[in-house]
Amino acid sequence: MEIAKLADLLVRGTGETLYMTLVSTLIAYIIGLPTGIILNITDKEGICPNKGVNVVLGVIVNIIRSIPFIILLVAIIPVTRFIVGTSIGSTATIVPLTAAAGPFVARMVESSIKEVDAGVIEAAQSMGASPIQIIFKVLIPEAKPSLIVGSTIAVTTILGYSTMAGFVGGGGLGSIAINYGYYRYQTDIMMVTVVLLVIVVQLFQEVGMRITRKTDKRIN
Amino acid sequence: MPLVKIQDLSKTFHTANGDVQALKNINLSIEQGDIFGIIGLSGAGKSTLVRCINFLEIPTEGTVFFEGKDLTELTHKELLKARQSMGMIFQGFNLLEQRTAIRNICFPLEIAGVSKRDAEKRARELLKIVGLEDREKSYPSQLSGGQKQRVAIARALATNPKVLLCDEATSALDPNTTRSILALLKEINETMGVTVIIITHEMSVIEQICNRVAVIDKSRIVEEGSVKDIFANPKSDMAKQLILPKNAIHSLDNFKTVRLVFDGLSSYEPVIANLIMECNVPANIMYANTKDVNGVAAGEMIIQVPDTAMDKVSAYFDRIGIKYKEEI
Ligand SMILES: Nc1ncnc2c1ncn2[C@@H]1O[C@H](COP(=O)(O)OP(=O)(O)O)[C@@H](O)[C@H]1O
Ligand SMILES: [Mg+2]
Repeated sequence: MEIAKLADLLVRGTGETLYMTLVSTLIAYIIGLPTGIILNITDKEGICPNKGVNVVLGVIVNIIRSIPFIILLVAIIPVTRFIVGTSIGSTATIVPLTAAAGPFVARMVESSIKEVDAGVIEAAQSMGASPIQIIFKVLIPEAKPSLIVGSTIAVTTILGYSTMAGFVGGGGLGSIAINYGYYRYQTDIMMVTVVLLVIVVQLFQEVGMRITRKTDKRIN
Repeated sequence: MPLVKIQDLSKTFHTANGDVQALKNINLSIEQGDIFGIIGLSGAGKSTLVRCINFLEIPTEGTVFFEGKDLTELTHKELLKARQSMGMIFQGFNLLEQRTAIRNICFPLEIAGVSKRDAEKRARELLKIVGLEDREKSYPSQLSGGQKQRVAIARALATNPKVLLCDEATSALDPNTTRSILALLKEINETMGVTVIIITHEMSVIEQICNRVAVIDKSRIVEEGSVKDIFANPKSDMAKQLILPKNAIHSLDNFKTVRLVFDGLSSYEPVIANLIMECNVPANIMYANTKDVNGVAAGEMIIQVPDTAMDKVSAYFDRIGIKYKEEI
């Protein structure tokens, strides 16, 4: 293959990968952030204990989390078709990615929020803060550094999932690696995509850690 | 009308290992302007009691009246509002780690719906009161324990509460810092008229600033009164354990052990010298100490005198007006 064509292929692949990963992460957080918070506050140690809600939500999250991604990918093809109109390509891949990442993000958020010192929550309660005020003024801001670390882990995990989607025509660097490297034995192209993936992961990691260091006021 | 009235209050925790009765039938009245101490050993129920005062913990039985209002009868909203009139500080300071000192102090004002400008103005006043006007931009991780507690005090006072609840507020601090924090609490009590309720396991804290004290032992209040009276004449075993010097007394056969308490005046009289000369008894000094109780120098001394001389000794002490008590 000519260099120019190859470069074009890889640039487009990287673009698609970033698109799938970031959009899925965003939607996963739109679902997972509130879910994680609800899981935390409805726990019996939380600020609004509610066993029913906690158990039901917990079970749903656990069920989805225990399905291997590659199975989930295939199993929800009808849903994907219904939402996107096709099950092929990077936009279609956002659906299973979000489905897999949402519950994962919910648990990450739940555990980040759990790190907030109970004493600080008690102090807020002693000032007459309502549960909503505690969520927005205590839990989220105090857990922010941990939430950012969590999102770095989430984004790299989702990136990994997106490459798996390459097997079923998911687009992005994963598809390139599988199509050229696996089906056509062009190991060199596969190596290049892997290197690109490593660079993208490094980038996410580095940016995440930098933001965390900047936001966390506990370490100086 | 007492500012805080705790009435027939009991609290039982239902745990996996069975019920834990943390408080049993507590009755206490705390008057406006008091610095009221609640002292007891670890696990006695102090934190649970103080958390019942602002209903962070709901009593199983009985109730709390705050400014005459029965807290059990308030709606959730009214309770949140009432809590804005009760500040609270903690052993672990419990500051928001991701907020600067000034924004920590603004926090209760945000909760109360005060505008940002007014909140910052008030926060600066408070920083000045607690002596940290130059640290407004510091994060808690950049402050010492004493400074953190000062920020916490300022934060607790932001909404102009009637009462300040202090749960072991000085237990994590060194003796010097403890003294300065207690002095600050006293100043706040005197200048702002804020009633202070202090939970502690250290008698020295009570002695330094409280005017009244309740002793809690195994979930019950076993003794209550003015600090002066209880210090001079502790009745309950727990009060004795907390107040009397430890290991000072090993009684001899045929000797009586007597604890004398001096108030500010009589500590300057040569009481023991006169006792020996007037009664002609060989008094043996086992322990002596002078403490600053609530701003007055108060001395205590433990002496041993022969059994046979006890009548003469009692008569002498009665005559010169010294408080004394025979110990076993
Ligand atoms: N939330 C709770 N659940 C179960 N038991 C509790 C709880 N809080 C306190 N207790 C128990 O109540 C008793 C009194 O505790 P606490 O009020 O913290 O004592 P103190 O502050 O005097 O050390 C202890 O036996 C403690 O284990
Ligand atoms: Mg305690």
